[in-house]
Amino acid sequence: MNDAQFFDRLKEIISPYVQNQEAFKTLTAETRFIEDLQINSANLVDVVLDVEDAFDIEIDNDSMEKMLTVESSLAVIKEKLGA
Amino acid sequence: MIGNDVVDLTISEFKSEQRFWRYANKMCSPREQAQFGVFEARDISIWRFWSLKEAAFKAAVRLGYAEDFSPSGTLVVLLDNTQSKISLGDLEFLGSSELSGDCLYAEVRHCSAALKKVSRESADNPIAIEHKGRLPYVSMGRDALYPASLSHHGKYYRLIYWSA
Repeated sequence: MNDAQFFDRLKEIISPYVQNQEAFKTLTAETRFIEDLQINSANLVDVVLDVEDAFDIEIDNDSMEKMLTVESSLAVIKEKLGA
Repeated sequence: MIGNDVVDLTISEFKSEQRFWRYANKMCSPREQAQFGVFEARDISIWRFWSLKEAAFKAAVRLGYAEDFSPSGTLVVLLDNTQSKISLGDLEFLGSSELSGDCLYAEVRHCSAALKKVSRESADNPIAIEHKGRLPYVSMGRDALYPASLSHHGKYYRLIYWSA
């Protein structure tokens, strides 16, 4: 899986939880889940669980708490996959 | 300092038993999980813990806490069906929870907070909110800025602001 495919897969995962659709249209690596996409903080746990299912990985609590932007989430996913 | 959080229980249901426990393991310690169902239904307990942790984080940020929100690093002990104690680093808070229909509301106050007046709003009304960094304030005209905490989930909105 290349970087663009990782990005697109993550975009698909967060889609149901996004409240700011305008910000979602221009999603970048720097996009912040809570401030920019207005994802409810409780739904961040849903994002993590969906990421675990989609990539067949386990995300520990320390890593989970870093997953606040697209970039930091992709970094955690790649680290867990050893990619 | 105070923090608050509201949960709309109608949009907070778990898809499955497995999902519930995976979620619980991400946000609550085994000791906290042992209190699930003690003072309210289990599926409400999990959101009671969550809302208290969120509220404590907001109050902690007001006190200068600079870390990101860490559910597993915020420790909650339920004392009864409304009262609780919350620890976040060196900070200690007293929490209160209120369940009204499908609205679960948490409010947390730093143990040493001495406040003259606390105002509460439950409607998304025209009160002006300003942010200074991560901190919200209610603006009441020139030079009248009151520290605030606000929460919005589903159909519920809660705003509190206070003067010290």
